[in-house]
Amino acid sequence: MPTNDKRILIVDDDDAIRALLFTILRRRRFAVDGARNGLEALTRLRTCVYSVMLLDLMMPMKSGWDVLDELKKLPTDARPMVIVLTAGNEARDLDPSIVAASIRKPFDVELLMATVTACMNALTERPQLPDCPPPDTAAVPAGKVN
Amino acid sequence: MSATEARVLIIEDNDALRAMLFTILRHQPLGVDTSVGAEDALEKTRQCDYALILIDMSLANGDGMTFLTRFREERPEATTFVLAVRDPNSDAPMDANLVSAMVNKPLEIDTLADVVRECALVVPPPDDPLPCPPAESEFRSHFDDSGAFFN
Repeated sequence: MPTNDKRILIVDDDDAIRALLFTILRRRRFAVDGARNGLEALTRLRTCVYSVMLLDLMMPMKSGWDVLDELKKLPTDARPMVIVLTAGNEARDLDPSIVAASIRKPFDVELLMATVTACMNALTERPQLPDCPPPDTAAVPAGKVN
Repeated sequence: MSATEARVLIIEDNDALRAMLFTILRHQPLGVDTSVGAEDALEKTRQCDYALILIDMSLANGDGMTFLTRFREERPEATTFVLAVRDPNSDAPMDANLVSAMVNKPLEIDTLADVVRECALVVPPPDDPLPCPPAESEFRSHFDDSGAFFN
């Protein structure tokens, strides 16, 4: 019996950025997972359903662009709402059918968190995949990020 | 929020996007309202003079063009700046009589906030403004980041 869930995936190779976003969202009582690159993100996406994904573009292994390409293969209702974190110098050709919005680094943390919170509050829970483990926010002690 | 500050209307039928836009703009010195479609939006524009309307041109049932056409018919004197949000792959023509400017999806959050604020604040208020009801951004909290930042 699948349980309903609303979960956020943070994908960024910068440990400090990931820790910052993770900590704030955890304090807001959201279920959050982290991924350090596109490869980890794709593994997460195969295991769990996400409501919102914060996605860096420039990452090793597999980039954010690669993750977006994979997301295109998912049915629309299985895709998370994607907010891209950009350095501002990437090509402006993000596919609006995949990406809801973007924000340039260095971003206004309060504005970004308010935006994510608003999205999460507006989105409804979805059935979680049966093999999806508990979120990092539940499994990781305070102060430690995957 | 002062009654004399610029008022903005968001027209978006996607709940999550509407919530996102509302949250982005309510962080600006603006009064912000939202609508889910043409009829609701037209009703709001009958009650209030908006400095700027942010409208998704991908609204269901062609509501975007319906709203813009009827809004210009009903309020030809309005100085409202209409900012249309559109899919960059769309080849639908935009009528300059209906739309002031366009921004492509996906939206850049920080740029959008700056653009809307700066445009809304320079639109001249009407000589005889309508008595607007309080803006949603003055009393609505369920879209937002209620609670302390680091609670």
